[in-house]
Amino acid sequence: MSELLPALGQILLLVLLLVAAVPPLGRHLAHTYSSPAHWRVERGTYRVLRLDPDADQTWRVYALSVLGFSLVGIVALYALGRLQELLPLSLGRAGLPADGAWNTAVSFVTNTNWQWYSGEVALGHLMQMSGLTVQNFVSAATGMAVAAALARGLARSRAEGRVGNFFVDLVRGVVRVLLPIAAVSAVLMALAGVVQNFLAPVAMRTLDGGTQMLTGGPVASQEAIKQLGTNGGGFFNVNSAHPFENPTPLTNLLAIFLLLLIPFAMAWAFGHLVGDRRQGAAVLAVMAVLLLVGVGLLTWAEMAGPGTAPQLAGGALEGKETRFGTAGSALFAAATTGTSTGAVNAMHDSLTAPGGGVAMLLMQLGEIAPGGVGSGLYGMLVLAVVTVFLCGLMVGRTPEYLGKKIGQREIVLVAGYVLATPLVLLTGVAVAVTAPAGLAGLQETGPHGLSEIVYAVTSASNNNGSAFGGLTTGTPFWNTLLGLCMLLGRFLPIVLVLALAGRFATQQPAPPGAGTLPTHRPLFVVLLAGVALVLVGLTYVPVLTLGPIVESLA
Amino acid sequence: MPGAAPGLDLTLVTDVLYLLITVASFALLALLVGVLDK
Repeated sequence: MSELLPALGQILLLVLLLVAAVPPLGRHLAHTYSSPAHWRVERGTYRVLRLDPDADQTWRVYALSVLGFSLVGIVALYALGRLQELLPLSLGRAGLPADGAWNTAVSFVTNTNWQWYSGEVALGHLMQMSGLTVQNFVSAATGMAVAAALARGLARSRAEGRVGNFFVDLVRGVVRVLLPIAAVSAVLMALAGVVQNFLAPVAMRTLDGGTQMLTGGPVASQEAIKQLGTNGGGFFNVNSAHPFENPTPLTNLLAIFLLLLIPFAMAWAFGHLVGDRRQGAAVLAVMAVLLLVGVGLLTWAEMAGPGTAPQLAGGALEGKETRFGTAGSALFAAATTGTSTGAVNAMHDSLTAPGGGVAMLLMQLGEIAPGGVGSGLYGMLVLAVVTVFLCGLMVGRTPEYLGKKIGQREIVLVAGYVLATPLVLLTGVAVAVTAPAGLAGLQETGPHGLSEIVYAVTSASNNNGSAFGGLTTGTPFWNTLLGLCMLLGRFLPIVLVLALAGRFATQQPAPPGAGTLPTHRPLFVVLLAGVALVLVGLTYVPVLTLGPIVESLA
Repeated sequence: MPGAAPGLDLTLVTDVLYLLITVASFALLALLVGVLDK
């Protein structure tokens, strides 16, 4: 337990940093998505793209804009991957195979950043920078835009389904939020020791006289947006466990701070956008409670969990970097699975059985603790609507959230949202465990083997992108299956959320009455957390029982 | 499979197949938008 105090100190420091940074960033985000004024650089972008930034879109046009923009992104990234060897700055890397290029294109456009390849071996600088890093920015901005559209839908009155302009939200998210923070963070990362160069691989002589190829590249600049945008795709295969990508406990803490920053700040911004800061604080509180429970359980599992080795060594050290220790790895694992980031600084396949189960559950909750940039907020707001609906049923009154009535159409959309990801996920698992090609790449059998499959499909369906490991997924079967899970897991919920935003935007808010459930009080925070755990968590109890729970009891 | 990317594979059939999967998926999503908008 010698690591307990440093572990608590690390969590406390992180909380203090977030408490200091979230409110001002939240205010900035709210201003970003509500200000009528356009910056000069933004006007230039709209002129080049021949867009009218003042045109307010209906939810339908907004959704089709999201889909069209993402489709173009997938096709462009696919072409970049396939034609890599013919393009400059490829470092002589071959083009990606068709299934791999498609998986990678879908992965980065959906903000999943699942990687079937080793970045330092398979990709050149052009693909890393013009392909993947660009998508790190715009896929994150897309999620934030959708969340802003839902907040507008709740805030507006009789707006005929108009929820904003997707391209304005996209450009503002990149220009006003992601680029400035990522630029500062990249410099901090480089100063703290993360590699940033354009060198080709360098041959080094090792101490025993052998030769080792060291790969550099623009790592710090990708690392910053990788964490900030809850993307997670590593420059190197071992991601944030690599000493060039995450060299010290300081960069580790900075990375965790960055990946939590915007998801929490979006909740704070929500309060400003709907004109009641207490609403944002309540949503933020639920996110924080769920994450802290996840961090606590995962840290306990890794430091004092079941198994002889953790008990004797004071922690489960297999698969962890000694420079981060058990606590630094557990905190990172909880933060990355709670935020849909998917970066890893330890081998999740080596987590203890309950630790791996907690990581899976944090993703399966729908990435709401605090979730991806934007997707965490809109996922939590959908659950808030469910909570209000259930409470309304209990007291026999028409349920309403922020004055907007939850009628039949609204609840159908919410039910579709809640069912969409489990449907994609559990269907994907069923296909994988029944197909010989799905079982072919397994390293383990029994409950742990099932966990390897469930984790991979969970990660893809919830757009997390982290890999458990122990499963070879660079095959046409896995690349195609996980690609479909990522695509449907991202855009089905987005379409339903935007439809919900449109429904809300057509309504005139009703004034709160005696039967209105206050949605800013601690009682609602408890109810919302309970609904998240019961409604979503229980969906996965059977599959978790067959995987990590059985393994824990073995 | 890390690092196992084979050379440029110009089998256009697979390229067309994956592009078709992509376009069909987005077409279905656009259809869903149309259905939900009614």
